[in-house]
Amino acid sequence: MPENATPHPPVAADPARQGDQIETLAREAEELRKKLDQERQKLNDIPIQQAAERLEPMGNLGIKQRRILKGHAGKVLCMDWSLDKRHIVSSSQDGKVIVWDGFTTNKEHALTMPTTWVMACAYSPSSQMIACGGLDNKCSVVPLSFEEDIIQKKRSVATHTSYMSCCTFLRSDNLLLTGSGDSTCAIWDVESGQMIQNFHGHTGDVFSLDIPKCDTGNTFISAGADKHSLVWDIRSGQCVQSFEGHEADINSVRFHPNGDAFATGSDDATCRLFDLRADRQVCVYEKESILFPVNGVDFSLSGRILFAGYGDYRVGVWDSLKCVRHSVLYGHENRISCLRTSPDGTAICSASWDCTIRIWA
Amino acid sequence: MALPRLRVNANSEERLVHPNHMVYQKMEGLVQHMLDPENGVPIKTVKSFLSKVPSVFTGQDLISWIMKNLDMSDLSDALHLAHLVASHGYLFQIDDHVLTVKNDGTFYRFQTPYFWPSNCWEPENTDYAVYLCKRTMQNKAHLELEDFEAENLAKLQKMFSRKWEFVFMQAEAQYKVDKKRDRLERQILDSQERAFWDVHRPVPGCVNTTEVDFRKLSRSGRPKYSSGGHAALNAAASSGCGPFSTSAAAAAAHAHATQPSTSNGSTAGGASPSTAPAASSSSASPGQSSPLTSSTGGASSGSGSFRNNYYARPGLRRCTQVQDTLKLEHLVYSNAIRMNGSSLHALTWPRIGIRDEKKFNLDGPDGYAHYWRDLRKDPSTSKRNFGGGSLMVWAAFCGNRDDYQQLLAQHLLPYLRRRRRANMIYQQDNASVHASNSTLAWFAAKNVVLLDWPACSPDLNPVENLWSVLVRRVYANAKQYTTVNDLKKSDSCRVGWFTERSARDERAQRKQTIFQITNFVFQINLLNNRLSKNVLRTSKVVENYLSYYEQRRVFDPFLTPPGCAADQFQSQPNPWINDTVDFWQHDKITGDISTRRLKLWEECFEELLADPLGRETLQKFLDKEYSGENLRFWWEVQKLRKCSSRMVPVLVTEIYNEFIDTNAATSPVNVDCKVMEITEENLKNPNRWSFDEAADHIYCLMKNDSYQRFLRSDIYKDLVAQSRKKHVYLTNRTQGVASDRRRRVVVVGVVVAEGPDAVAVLLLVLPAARPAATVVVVGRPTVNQKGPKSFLTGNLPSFSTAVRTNLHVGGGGVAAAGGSGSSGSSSQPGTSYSPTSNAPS
Repeated sequence: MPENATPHPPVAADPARQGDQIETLAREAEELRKKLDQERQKLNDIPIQQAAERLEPMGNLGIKQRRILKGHAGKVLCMDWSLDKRHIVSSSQDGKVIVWDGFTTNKEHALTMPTTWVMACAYSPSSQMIACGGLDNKCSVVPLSFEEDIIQKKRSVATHTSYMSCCTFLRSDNLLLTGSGDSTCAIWDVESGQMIQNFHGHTGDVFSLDIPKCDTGNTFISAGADKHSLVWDIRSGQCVQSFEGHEADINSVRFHPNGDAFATGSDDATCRLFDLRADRQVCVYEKESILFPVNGVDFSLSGRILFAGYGDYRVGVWDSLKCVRHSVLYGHENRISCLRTSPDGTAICSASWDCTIRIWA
Repeated sequence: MALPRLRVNANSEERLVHPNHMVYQKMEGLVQHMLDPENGVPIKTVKSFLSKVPSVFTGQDLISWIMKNLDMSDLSDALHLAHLVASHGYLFQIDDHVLTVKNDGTFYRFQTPYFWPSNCWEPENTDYAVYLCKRTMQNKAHLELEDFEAENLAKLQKMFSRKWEFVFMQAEAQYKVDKKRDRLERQILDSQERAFWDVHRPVPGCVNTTEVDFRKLSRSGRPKYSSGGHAALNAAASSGCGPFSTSAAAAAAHAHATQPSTSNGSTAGGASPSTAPAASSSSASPGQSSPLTSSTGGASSGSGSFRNNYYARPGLRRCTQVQDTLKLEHLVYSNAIRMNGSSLHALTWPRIGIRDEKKFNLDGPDGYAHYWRDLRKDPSTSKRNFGGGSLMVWAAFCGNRDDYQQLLAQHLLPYLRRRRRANMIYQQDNASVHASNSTLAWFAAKNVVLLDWPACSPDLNPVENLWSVLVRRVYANAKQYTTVNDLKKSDSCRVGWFTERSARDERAQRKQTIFQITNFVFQINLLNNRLSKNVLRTSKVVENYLSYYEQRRVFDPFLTPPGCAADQFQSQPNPWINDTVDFWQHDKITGDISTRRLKLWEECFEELLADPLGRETLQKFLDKEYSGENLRFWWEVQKLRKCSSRMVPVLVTEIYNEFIDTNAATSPVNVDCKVMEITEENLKNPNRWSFDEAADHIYCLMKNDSYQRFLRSDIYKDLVAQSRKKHVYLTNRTQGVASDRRRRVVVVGVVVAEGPDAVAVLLLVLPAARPAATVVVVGRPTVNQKGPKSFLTGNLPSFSTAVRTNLHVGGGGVAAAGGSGSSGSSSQPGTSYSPTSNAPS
């Protein structure tokens, strides 16, 4: 955020001089940007495809639809895996949140939220509670138990000034990380509902965020309508790195399993791979015939495969190192809204506007 | 590091576009290519029996075009793309409501750009009703209503029961116009119109591609900040239901970006006069009051200026705004073209004077109950301020028809004469004073042509849209008026508002300049930072990905399916594929740690710590080495980092007392003085991250020292050896016994021992009542099935112990201890299946 990062620069009083000042500054910024581009270009010694040439191409993966979860009456907008590798929580446009046993396809809990468009849901690491929210600008936490009516136990934890677009538990049941249409992200204490840290810097709605798998890090990434992905320091609330390249809204962002890179999916119909250590975009996954936005991306356990859920109802399976589309999974009958690899990497799960959730393996 | 550039002047720069704009743009690019007369899809007129089918192409042609031009090798890929283009309404099958494409000789036609979804606002139900009604008039087999359309028509009829007469009239008028058209042209138009409605009111079961993601509405100018949860909720409610769905935010910027270019697009020709003439028609309306009229004209053409005023309203408010402008354009089409036929050229539009009057209530405008509050006070008729078409509110007017005529004579006619618009077309509503025979005769006498007023259909009346513009202005910011006088004054307030605005603008501009400068300085700092940072080369980065992949490929179930030949751990098969949970349950059932898990611990330190069992094992090892406090400290710090806020002070104190306190710690950790200093410094202001530096330090120590020793330790080696020896291989092969109809039998194969090239498999045949077991010694599962080397059967309880104790698989040969056979030979029916089929392959 400019306000808290730099002292106020001297501003000329005279409007004409102000104009000059702006112009010089703009020029300077532009020059620096060019210089940076050049510098980065120099380091961009070989394209990833070439470096990965020696790799064997992936054989037939034999990925098929293995389960279909039916029960939502509206567009499914979000889903999340439980760490027990088989349970799934999903939320839909008609305000329903359903907890599934993905393996048996049974519904275990169903909640009705007070609003439509429940745009985000998340399973807690202990699998004992879920968080969900959306147009109500809130993120509510519901403990899961079979004994009583769990909706009674619903508690709102986070409150934003616009819709809540994404949420995830921050490595424990005690902290909740949310992103919102008010272009901020925030960390909340689940127990008290207090905001622990907030993150200003995006200039558009935040659509997606992700935390690295590794327990020790103190960063997370967020991305959204301003086409930028920002890396944040959880402790200070400062943006430590920013990545640009997309030509339209970024809908989804996911860390590479090694924690040093991340993939994004965007409305410009491309997925991109950015590297934190290289501080730039490393690769673009695009194809002329793909016109539709990417709404969900995720990696396989080894980082070799990048799954992308498209607005054209299909899941694209990309070879992330050779930068080619390996295959396509057909099945959904409407836009895919969300895609996640299961915690043990045995399956991927996609949620779609066709009211179904499908598990592929 | 550069933050996204802040939108300096968001309001004027931000173009309002359809939320699906990106997709539409790309598809239109593609369709334009297809339409190319030379390299496009070949369009032809086909002769069929006694008639001609004009301007069509076949599905085959389309698919082959896509495959050729888009460099696609996969047929299903091309078909899917064609299907998508069709389902968005850019092309359609000439005689089917379902928008899809088949790769055969079926005929398809391109949609005229006028009906492209990017050009189309969310069409109103009235339009749909008129369309359906029209279809019922056309006495042709191919135009007969489908079942779902008939149903829709019935519903609409119910909904519009009172204005159905108007719908019918409109339909009739359109039908008459249509009838005058050339037959082939009509045929094309009919199909295009049908396809348009198939997109916007799809056949049940088909995807409605015009639906919009709520999150993307911001593109069409939805204000970012709603006043609170409640307001957003309302917006949600109105977006979720009702015919005016979220897709209402139609593409203003694209409204007439594309000129009709196909040969089919002839009707659309007159359909895109800009807003400006529409606005000027409003200022040409009678009974003018110059300042206000002009301001309204400005408002409807340059809606940007007062859009700023709407931040108070959430959600769809702005979309309605967009829609107003669009509607005005649409009206040109709906009124001028449809009602009066294409003969009424668009240029005549500005000459159509339109009049109406508007009631202004104290609390809010009527007719806007949906967006505004309900009327609390119903003003009496005397408070009604009638304005004869002008947007100026002038003297109260409650007249009979004579008064009305007199009024018109006094104000309207002089105005018209002054403007030399003698041949004005005049449109009035159907209020009784207006529509009375006497008044109509009066008009006839004064030589004024009247334009039909579509009853009860505000959408089709341009003036209503102007009213909405004015009404919003008067009631901007949810202003309420206490007296009629205030309301009257509000107009002058409006005028004043413009002068006041300029002062405010200046202030805002200055603020903006400062903001801009701050922003630039900030950006320059960031860029400098980024420039000075050391970053890796791409080759290095890729090298890292490659090595990560090489390490982890064996753990990736997609690349190395568990249980397959290449799986070095011989894990249980993927639960999603084989419908068994053994892959997940293995460790719980057997109490062992799988090789897969152990290998992962070896792979990296993080994995070891992430696994609770791994941490436990490491703890055991460290305790033996007398350095257990390191791990305990690190783990406590991790807990602190993610604990709830309430617990932070408690945990900080605990950790300090146990590990850090230089004098009194119960089990102090060994951190160097530099880190200790930092930690002490942090503790002046304790928080959940106070011990991070110390924990990182310890972590590095453990990783570089203890971890390596752990991997070489007996504890770890024993675990590995143990898991190797009892490499349990569970398969579930029910198909081998599926032929047994008498009872449910499940055969479970367990590898109980293995040697370099032979495996002993314990086959448990589990009928519900009496389980039995067979041991089969076969070649390695990786090698082709060689059949059992030998096998033994027996009862389960005795058998398992026997196998555990006696079965040895020696190097090279197979030495199944024959003694195990002694434990039981009571052959069960279930075991009589050929074990070959049950053994893992």
